[in-house]
Amino acid sequence: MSIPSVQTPFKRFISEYVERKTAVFAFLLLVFVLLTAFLGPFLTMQNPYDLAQITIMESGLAPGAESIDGNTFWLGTDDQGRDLVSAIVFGLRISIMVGIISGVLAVVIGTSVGIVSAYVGGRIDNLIMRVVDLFLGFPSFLIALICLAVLGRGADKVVLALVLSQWANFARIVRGVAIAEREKEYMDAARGLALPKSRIIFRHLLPNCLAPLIVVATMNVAFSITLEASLSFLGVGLPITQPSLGLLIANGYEYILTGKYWLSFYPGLSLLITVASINLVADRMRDVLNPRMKK
Amino acid sequence: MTIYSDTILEVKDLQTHFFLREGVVKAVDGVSFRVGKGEILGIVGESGSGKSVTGFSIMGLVNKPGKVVGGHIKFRGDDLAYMSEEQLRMLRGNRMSIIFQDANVSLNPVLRIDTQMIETVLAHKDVSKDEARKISINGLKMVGIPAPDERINSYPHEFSGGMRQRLSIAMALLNEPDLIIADEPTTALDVTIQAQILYETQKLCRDRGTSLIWITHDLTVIAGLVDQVCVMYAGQIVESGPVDDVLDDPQHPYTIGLIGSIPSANTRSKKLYQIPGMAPSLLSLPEGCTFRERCQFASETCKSVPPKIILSDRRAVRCFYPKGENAAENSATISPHEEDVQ
Amino acid sequence: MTLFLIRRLQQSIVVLLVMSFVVFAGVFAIGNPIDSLISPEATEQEREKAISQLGLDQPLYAQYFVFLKNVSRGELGTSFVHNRPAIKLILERLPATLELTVAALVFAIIVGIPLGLLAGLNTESLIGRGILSSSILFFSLPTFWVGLMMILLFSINLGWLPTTGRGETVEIWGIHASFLTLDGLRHLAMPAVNLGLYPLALIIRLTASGTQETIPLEYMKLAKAKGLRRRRIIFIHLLKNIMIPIVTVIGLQFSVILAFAVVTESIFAWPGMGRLIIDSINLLDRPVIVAYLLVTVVVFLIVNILVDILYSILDPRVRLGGM
Repeated sequence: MSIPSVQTPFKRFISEYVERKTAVFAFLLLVFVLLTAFLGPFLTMQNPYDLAQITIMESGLAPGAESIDGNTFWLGTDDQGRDLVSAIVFGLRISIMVGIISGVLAVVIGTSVGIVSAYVGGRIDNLIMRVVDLFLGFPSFLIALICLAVLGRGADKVVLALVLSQWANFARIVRGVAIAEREKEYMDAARGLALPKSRIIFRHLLPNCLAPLIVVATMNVAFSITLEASLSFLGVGLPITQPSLGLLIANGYEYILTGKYWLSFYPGLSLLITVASINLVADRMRDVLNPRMKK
Repeated sequence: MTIYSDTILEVKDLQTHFFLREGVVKAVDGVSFRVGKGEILGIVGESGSGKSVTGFSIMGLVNKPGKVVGGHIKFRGDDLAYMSEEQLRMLRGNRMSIIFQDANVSLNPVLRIDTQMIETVLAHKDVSKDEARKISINGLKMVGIPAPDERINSYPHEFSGGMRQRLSIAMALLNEPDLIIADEPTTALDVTIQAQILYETQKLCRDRGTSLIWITHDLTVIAGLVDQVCVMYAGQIVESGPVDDVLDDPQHPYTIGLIGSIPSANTRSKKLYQIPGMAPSLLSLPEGCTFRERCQFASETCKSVPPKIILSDRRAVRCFYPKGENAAENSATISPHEEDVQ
Repeated sequence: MTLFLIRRLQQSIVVLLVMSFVVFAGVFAIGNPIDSLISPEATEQEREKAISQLGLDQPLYAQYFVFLKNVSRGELGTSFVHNRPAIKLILERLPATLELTVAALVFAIIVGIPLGLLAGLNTESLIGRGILSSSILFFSLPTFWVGLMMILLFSINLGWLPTTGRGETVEIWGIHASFLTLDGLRHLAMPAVNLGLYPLALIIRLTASGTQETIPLEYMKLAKAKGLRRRRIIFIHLLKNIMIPIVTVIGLQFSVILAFAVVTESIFAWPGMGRLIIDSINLLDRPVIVAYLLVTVVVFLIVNILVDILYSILDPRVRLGGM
């Protein structure tokens, strides 16, 4: 191999990552999406949920139409005169927030349970894995649906439902990895030094599982965003006061038959771009970080 | 020894290269030999010497990133390079066949033996399925599988290792080919079973006048089995000749070393000879003679490409100093079993 | 084989019992359905009467035992909303959902395996790379949005396919099926393709990676060395080996697709269990939710057993007795 040995792992990661052009493009796209989601709401022409800023006079306008005060509705307006660009930017922020929080939380909880289970072993491990199996017996979509049926609507409840529906996956994966790692020499060394259990777990075991975890966590954020959108689309996810992209699409659904396609097309496109860019970045990260995981 | 006049296979200056990221590996670099009808040829070499790739090249089994880039392979007088893919297919498994090293991985695990044998017959012969089954059962009987008409319905994993290798030998023999290439077919087996299979394969080929190329890293296997032998090192044939001549009077320092490292009755309680150093990486071969870095007779001269010295009709060696004679710095010849050379 | 089936049935019953309790306890926590059932003007007395009639005044464990007893008699309670046996409501709609799910899988398999083979055999070419990258895109597509876009394109703009319902059905063995009539097929096409996109992407990637891993194996070389035709090498020697992981994953995916059918059914107004369960969740129609979950679990368990049997047929090294 011609790769010089002086490179740090991080530099090496970057240099291998950029070998694939689509992956670089996906990364730039993701940066753009994130910037839009977090800075966009300060730049849009209106706050689409401030009733004082919208007028029914401008409802149902096609993309490119001009507003009364001379602005352009690049993607048109909805039935209440909301600028669709603004609505998408606000919706994107909600979707991404819910996705990141629940996606990362599920990985963190799943990982902790998995590592503890693997390290403690014995009866507790057995019990935990039974619970995990119970969760894994059901598709995550169904678990989330039932959770929301129990909990009702709301952003916090959606996050809880998403975490509950996915943590078990990671607990299972991580437990497998951790058990394999536990048998390796450096763990024997750590035990030999009589380090406390918690220190062994967090300072020695965890860092060695970290690389694959970052990849699954990234992919899980994408999956959480899609899942939340599906649930909100069905009307069991976020309330109308917190319109994510899924709700925007659901609203547009009603107008599709009357030809106002843009109301569901553009929010969906934004959702697709978001999820696809995350997935492409994660896919490349996986290839670079661990060639053996390349399936 | 029989004179084999009809040539079945003639390989001339064969070049098979592997195009890797790190560079071009010349796995086979200018190999030439001839196999007569009914003749048994042994190809001996360490792993990585290109002996298996030579066999694969003849069968047309070299996969990407490998490629046959030069030379001629003439089978029954026809140059394989000028044949269509369909013509080659009709040769493979029919006129020439191959036995792989490890039947554990060369038999398809999810197909029954009858499927795997019958398809081989049907690919080349216009017979009914029943007829093909009969031929297959006969083939199993020939290699000594007990109760072949029952066992043929089993899966590969239901046989023992030795039996599995017999299955692949039976498969290679099915269409009574003119040439069989055996790629170390006994290395994965127990020593006792090795000998049996060795003997039986030889007998089957002799009885039918089938030519055989036996590829191995083990010189002892060759001794009682083959007529001719080629010794390969780093993609080239360094020495060839009738087996008795080569074993009794080795010319190339590498062959001498190989023979010296065989344990025998005479070498008991003596330290065995070891060829110094390791087989070189094919990516960074020394220029000139590829063996020179491990050779005790090597001199400055060896940095240029050694000549092929024809000793007799079928005997040749590729070396500046055959048997180490006339070597400038080191005039002492070494005998194969000399005690502790190092 | 028989031993295997008996053992699996025993395991299934245990799982079912555990699930029934979890489901019951979970749904019990949903909240009091009485508020959504009784008009706000009802007197306190009417309210009490309704509660005791529905058995809602009993403690959780008592309700569960009543529930278990009823389950064993095939009764899962009466829908608060439809005032009909919940299990009947679900079973009426189950065939439509199953038809949609199976159609989606069949679509994914029929399209996915050839595309995956094509990609796996031509990894260097533009086609192969194109197939693989578009499969990542399929993974990212929000199913419901694609459904809407399909309606927009094929129904509204092109006018080719109907947007809602099952169309004309034919009754076989007392079950209505759409796929046997042309009109039914036209109705089935869009929802099935929509629901099948995700498993399609999965099957393409699995087939492609399986092909890439199998091609360099020794037995593939031997197949070629035996002079077999390329067609036979690929469709017998290669495919039979890569079918093993594919069947496993399809089995696992079945339940995922069955769950996601809820979304597709909502978009295309497919009269399956999906729409019913969403309505029941919104109206807190407890018996219907429970019936839906239990029926779904039973379907999962049956599918799992079928997959195991299929697996043992495909891979002779697997022996069912030893499991």
